Amino acid sequence: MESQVHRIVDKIISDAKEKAKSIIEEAHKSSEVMLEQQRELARQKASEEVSLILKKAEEEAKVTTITEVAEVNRKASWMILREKERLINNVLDEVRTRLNAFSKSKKYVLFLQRLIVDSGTVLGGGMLEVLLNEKDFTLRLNFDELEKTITERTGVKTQLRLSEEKINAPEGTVIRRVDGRILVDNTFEAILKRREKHLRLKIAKILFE
Amino acid sequence: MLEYDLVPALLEAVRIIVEKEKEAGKILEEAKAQADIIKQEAQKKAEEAFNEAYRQVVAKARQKALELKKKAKEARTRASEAETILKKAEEHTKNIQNRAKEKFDEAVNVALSEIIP
Repeated sequence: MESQVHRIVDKIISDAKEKAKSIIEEAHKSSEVMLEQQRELARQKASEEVSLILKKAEEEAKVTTITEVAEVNRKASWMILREKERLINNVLDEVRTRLNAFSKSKKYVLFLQRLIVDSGTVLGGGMLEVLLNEKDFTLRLNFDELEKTITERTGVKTQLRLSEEKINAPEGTVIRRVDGRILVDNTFEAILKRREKHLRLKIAKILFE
Repeated sequence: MLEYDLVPALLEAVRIIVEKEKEAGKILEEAKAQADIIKQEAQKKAEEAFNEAYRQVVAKARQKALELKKKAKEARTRASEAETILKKAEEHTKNIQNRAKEKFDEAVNVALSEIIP
C-alpha cells in the first residue's frame, strides 16, 4: 500500500511539473508571437512613409536629370548664339572697313553732300553749321548748291557755314543749328548705331536662314 | 483486527496525497505567476519592437533613396545625353560658320546699301 501511495504522489508532482513547464513555454511562445505581430504592424505602418520617401527620391532624381540636361541644352544654345553674334559682328566690322574705304573714293563727296542736304532738311533749314573731320575739312563741297536744295525742300532760306570745330568720326558729318540747340549726327558710326538693331536682324536673316 | 489496522494506514495515505496535491497546486501557481511576468515583459517590449522594426524599414528606404539620388547624379546615360547635345551644337555651329562664310559678302552688301543707298 505504501508503494501505491508513492506512485500516486509522484504522478501528481510530475504532472504538475509538466503542466508548469507547458504554461511557461506557452507564455514564451505567445510573447514572441505578440512581438512579431508588433513588428509586422510596424512594417505595415512604415510602408506608407517608405512609399513617400522613395517617391520623393525618384522625383528628385528625375528633376536632377531634367535640370542637368536643360543646363547642357542652355549651354549649347548659348554656344550657338555667341557664334551667331560673332559672325554678325564680323559682317558689321567689314561694313565699317568698306565704309572707310568708301570715304576715300570719289563717290564719297557726292554722298557727303547728300548727307548734308538730308540733315539740313531734317533741321528745317535756316542758319546751319556743318561739322566735318580733319580729312573731309579740305574737300570741295558745293555749299551754294546745297543751300539751294535745302531751301527748296524746307521753304526756309538756308545758309550753311563750315564749322572750325572738327568731329572725331572717320566719315560722315554733323549738322547743327548755329544756336547749337539741335543737331543731326550723320557720321557713319552714328548711322550704323541708329540702324544696328535693324541691320543685325537683316544680316542674321541672310546668314542663318 | 485487519480492519482496525487498515484505517490508520489509509488515513496516512490520504494525508500524504492531499499534501502533495497542495504542493502540485503551488507548482502550478508559481508557473502561472512566471508566465504572467513573461507576458508583462513582452508587453513592455512591444513598443520597443514596434519602433525598432519601423526604424529599420524607414532607414532602409532612406538608404535606397540616397542611392537613387546618387545614381541620378552619376548617371552615365545623362552624361552621354549631354555629350550628344554638345556635339550636335558644335556641328550646328560649324554649319552656321560655313553658311555665314558663303553669305558673308551678300550680308555686307545689304548692310552697306542700307547706309549708302
